[in-house]
Amino acid sequence: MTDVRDLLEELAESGPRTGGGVLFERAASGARTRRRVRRGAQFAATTLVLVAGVATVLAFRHSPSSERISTAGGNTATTSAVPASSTGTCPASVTTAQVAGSTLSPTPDGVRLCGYDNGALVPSSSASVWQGRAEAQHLARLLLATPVDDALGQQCADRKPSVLLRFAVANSVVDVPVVDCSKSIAYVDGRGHVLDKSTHADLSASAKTSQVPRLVVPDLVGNTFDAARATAHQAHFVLRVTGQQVSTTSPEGVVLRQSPAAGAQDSSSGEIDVVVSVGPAPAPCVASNLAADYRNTGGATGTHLAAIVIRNVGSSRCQLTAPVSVVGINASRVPVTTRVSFTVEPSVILTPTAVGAPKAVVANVVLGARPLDGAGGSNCPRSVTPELWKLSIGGGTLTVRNHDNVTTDPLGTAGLSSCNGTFTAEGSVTAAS
Amino acid sequence: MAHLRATDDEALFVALYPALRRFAAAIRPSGIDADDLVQEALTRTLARRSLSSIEEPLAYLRTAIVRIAGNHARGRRRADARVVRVGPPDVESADAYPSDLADLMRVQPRARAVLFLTVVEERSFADAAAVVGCSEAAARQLSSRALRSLRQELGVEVRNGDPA
Repeated sequence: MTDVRDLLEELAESGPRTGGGVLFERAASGARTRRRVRRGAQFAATTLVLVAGVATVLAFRHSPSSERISTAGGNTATTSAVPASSTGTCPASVTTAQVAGSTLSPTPDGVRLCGYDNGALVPSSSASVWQGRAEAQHLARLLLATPVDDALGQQCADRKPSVLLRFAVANSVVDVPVVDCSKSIAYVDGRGHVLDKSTHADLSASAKTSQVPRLVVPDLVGNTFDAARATAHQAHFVLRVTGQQVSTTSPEGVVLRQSPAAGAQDSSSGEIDVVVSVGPAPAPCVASNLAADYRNTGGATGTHLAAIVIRNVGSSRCQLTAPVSVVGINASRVPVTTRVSFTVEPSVILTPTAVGAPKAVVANVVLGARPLDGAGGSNCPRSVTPELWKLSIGGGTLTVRNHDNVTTDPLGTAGLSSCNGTFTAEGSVTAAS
Repeated sequence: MAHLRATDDEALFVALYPALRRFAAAIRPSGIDADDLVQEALTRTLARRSLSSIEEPLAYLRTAIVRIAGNHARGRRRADARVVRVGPPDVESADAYPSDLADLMRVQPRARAVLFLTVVEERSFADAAAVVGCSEAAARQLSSRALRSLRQELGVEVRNGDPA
């Protein structure tokens, strides 16, 4: 009877022995060779992949047929990863963009349009980050209201088959080959979903006429601000509040006026200016419920040297009414400037604010002081900042100390005797932004 | 740094070599030298990583040896099949081993690896399965079949317990 253990032991001890050291030298040498071969193979494979990738990109650029993810009017859109080294990537540093005269701010889920027209990129200065739901509006704006659209339209008119719109969405791009210039292009949102049909832009108009199609301004008067904004977005416009106004008939937040008017055709700004009601007029502000602070505006000599910030320290809203006037005085309460009455906007409504609250700016009186006639030559001061500003407002007076370096130089003192003229303040009272 | 690592690897391998060599000799396919198996396993390992970076280099290299031996065995079987189809070569290769060892050599390398680890080194089937790269049950089955075959041909017996 044979023992399997003995057999295995015998087998294990059979054959010649090379020795561990020698074997290691041979193996290490072989390993080095294999590493070199593998690196070479990897390099070749990488090169092959890169070449194939470039070929694919080129082929894609010149061959619009692609995976169909969304269509409108026979056009096809496709998504693909942004090639890291491709010039097709959006500029990463874009934070705001000037489009049709308005500055747009980005949002985390914004859509970035970085290129179009056969894959050629818009310069980074023109690249745009689009804001939320309104991206379709902006896309339409860019397509319909810029000279580049004309070029795109011209390409369509010339029946060039390779017109390609490229939308960069988050980390991917959406390319929309224009296979039929007489059809609409589907716009997509940040998730690649096709937006509603009202956001489609018909390129055929620009293609046929090289004219910029116009959008009709919707009627917003009487709507609440939120409703008006939604309506404006649907019509591819952006709202801009240019003022507030007291209204005895319209509650707070209702649009009172708009510009351009409803029904107008617009193709340039993309904005509708609105004035919003602040509701019925509150009681006039009285001096006992007001406080004023001095704030240096950091301006140069001349006008706009300082701002007086008026706060409502009462318990209810009040309306600031004329007259409001200011005069610079010195420590002896002697006026060193002439008194100036400021105009007051019709509805500067001051909301109660705590004293010293960081956002207590509710009205600004921007002022400076300079000799009215400028007489006395170049040696005469062009401005004066008195120790105190005395503000007449709300049936009383408020005194504001000048916290900057005082350069109170009443005429005829401090070697300025040769200077003539009158120092005056100037400015206006406006609602704080 | 690389030099130090190579030195460490060499010292480690020299220490492991006797065990690796015995294992390779026990499971090697017919016509393959044990040292060639060991060297090939080490070469493949060093081409990708240093020996000292491996947690259990002995088990790692043994697994590599089993795989290389298995590949050789499969290649040999294909070659034998071709020989059957086209006829034997002009020069016949004679096995230098006695008949008992020749019969043992006919057991496939993975089964011999399990037998060697469980019978000679008295390791558990779980350890053997880890080296061979199969489940414990599969290792037991490999061992059982190999012993059954050897019993029929050689009338072998097993000491140190019945691995089957």
